[in-house]
Amino acid sequence: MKNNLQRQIKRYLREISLLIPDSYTNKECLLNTIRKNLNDFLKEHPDSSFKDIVKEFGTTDEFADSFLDEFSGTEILSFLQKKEHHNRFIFLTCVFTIISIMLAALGCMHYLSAPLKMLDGDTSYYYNGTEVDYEEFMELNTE
Amino acid sequence: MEKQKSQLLSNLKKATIEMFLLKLLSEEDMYGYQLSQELKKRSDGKYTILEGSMYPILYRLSDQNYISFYEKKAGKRQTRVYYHLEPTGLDYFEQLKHSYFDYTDLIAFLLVSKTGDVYEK
Repeated sequence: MKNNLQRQIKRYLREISLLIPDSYTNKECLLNTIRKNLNDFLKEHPDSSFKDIVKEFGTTDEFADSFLDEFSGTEILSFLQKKEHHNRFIFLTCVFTIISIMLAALGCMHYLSAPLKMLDGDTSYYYNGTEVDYEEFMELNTE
Repeated sequence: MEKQKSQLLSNLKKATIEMFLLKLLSEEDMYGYQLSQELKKRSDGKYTILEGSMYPILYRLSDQNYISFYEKKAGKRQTRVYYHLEPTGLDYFEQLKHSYFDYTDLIAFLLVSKTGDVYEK
């Protein structure tokens, strides 16, 4: 039962973490404080259920409402804009990475598929596994 | 009707949280959980404040240098963050209090006023 409560508290804290914008400078501080306060509450009320915790600290929706209430429209807009910039940056980074990987793969394939021809004076060496033009090969073997 | 009443109370609460936090800190240094519990106790459960509201206000007051904070040991491996009201914070609280009383005085007058009445402070 205690494990179940711990799991519920973890989920509760995770949901709250998702509700607080990443660009809020005191996000980590706030989450640590809420965690500490939850622990304080459980120490003072060891027989509490998750329902008691929610009654004391509010549901995650109530948390979100009370949190956003403390910011002006401009500040909330700033959070959203920062998130948009952040998402755009992540998207562009992913696209750039994928394109780089594809170009690198194409380059490798091109390099590996070319026949490896070594010239030593009048003798040409063709190594096993390399592609060779059939007519050229037949020409060489019949010489 | 209930929704409008709830909205009014919510707005009143939003307008006064900062003042009440400063009021408590003007009496003694307190940690966050203690602040919310003290408000709840004094109001007999009628005035509750959620963590989501309280801490952004405390951080903002700290950024404005109205309050400061320090850590204090509260057990074997536990520390608590206590908030302390600075002199500038005390001045700010006094200003808020005066503004609040002036404004509520005006509201009280307007609620009973009739045509031709003019508010005089």
